[in-house]
Amino acid sequence: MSLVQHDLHRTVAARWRAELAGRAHGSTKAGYYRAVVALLAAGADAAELGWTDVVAAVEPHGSRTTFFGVAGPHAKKPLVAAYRAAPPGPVRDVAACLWRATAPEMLVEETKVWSYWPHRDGWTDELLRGDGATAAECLIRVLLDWATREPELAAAFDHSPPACAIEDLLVLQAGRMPAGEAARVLSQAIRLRLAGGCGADGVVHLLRHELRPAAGPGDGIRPLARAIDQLTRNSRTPSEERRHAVAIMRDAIALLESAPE
Amino acid sequence: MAADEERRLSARLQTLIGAGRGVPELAGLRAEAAARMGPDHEITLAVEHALEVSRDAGRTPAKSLPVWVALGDRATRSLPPGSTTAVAIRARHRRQLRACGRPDDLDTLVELCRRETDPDARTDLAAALRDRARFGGHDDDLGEALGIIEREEARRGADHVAAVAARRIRVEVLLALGRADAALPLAEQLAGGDDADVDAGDGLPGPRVLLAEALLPAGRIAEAGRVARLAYALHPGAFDPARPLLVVARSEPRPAARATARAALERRRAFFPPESHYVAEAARLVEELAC
Repeated sequence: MSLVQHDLHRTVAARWRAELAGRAHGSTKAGYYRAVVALLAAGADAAELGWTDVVAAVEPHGSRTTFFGVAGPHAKKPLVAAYRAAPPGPVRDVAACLWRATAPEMLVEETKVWSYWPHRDGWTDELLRGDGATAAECLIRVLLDWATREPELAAAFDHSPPACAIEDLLVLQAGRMPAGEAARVLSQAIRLRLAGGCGADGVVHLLRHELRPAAGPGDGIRPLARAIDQLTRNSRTPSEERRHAVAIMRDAIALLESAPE
Repeated sequence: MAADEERRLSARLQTLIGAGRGVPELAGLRAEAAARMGPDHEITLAVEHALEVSRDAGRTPAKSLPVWVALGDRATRSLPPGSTTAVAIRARHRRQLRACGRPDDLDTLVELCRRETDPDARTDLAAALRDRARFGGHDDDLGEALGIIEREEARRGADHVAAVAARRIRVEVLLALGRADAALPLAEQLAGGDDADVDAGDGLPGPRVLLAEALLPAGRIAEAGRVARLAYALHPGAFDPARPLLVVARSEPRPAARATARAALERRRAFFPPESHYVAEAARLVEELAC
């Protein structure tokens, strides 16, 4: 297991999920999440959702008491509290991205995490190699895959991303990105896919520069110097390749020397 | 839960694609998806689509084509026509027809594109009409291609990758129509973009090749040769890596030009069917330079 994978298995959201798994409260919550998904898919507006709507949609049946045990300020084991309990830093700031004014709205935010989780599992299953930027691009692709399967849920609250995806991006960026910025990038990705007419490749292209560290000074000349060094030291380079290299270098010299200082 | 299993497999597929993993990993995922969800489930066919796309890199278009016909038949039997996977498989089938580039392939492709409801098939139609015009006998094809591709470019709007693909076809069509004055600024703009060297994997010529081709009719021969040499060196794995060599040959003195054109013909013969426009174009150049 790579270091990043290890970190991804220990996120606040991952520990929160593990704590709920197999417990009665966890399966009760899942019933309410399913109700939210069904309501939004049927055309309900996430911002207008009332607790009575949710309770009425729970299968086999819901109740006011259970609803407020699952969502809102007095809920048992809300995800927002798990983030608030994290040490100071970008991960704790995810709580601010997740926090909503009403209990049904907070339930919608948790539903995003619940619904996205199988996608996250698939993503972490395959993240064996590759750098952080590649992993982040894969995260975006997986997030968009989720968004196209759950467009109403994904679009809720101005395309806010699942909190666990924000946290995952923070892990990949290793502290270089604040939580609000990670939330903005992911929410832009969802918006571009669902409302901007962009395919997954188009979205990744538009956001790539936000996920990769900027090139440092001298980065441009170093690969050239390396390539020249390799070419000139290798006496077994085929003559055809040498001819091409000479032609390209002559082209470049002519171009560079003709450019104004 | 089956729905969760499907989502998990789908996310694994997206991760493999995003990380640029190859045939072994995709084949493993395909076997797993088939075992868990069944061989004709949408997710299994989606993985198979990605697997065969990956395998296409190691085989000729003529060998790929029957694979896509067969996969397309299975998708037609198992999936609704509008499903993402069915649409993607049909798109890849069209891509292989275009890659084969024989007159019959292009006629079939034009027919398929006209029947297709997926809007992305419109760019394929424009490209197919452009290619079919290479064989002559279809006088209206280029005009129709230009109209289609201009509308597509406008429709694709904010999707940079999709809009750039349409713009690349527009350059090709403009050049075929003899409108180098309109093609050149567009090609310069494409080649100046920060994604000029990203291989979109769509089988379309890259921005640098198009710029080199647009510089030739503008009389900027040496510059065309320079741009084409760079394109050839930068994109050895492109769909048609020999294409820049045709421009290089036109920029060189006669003896070197003949050798370059012959090299292009050899490379194209090794990959494309002998009746394709790819081979015909390179053979014509070799003949022309022999005189």
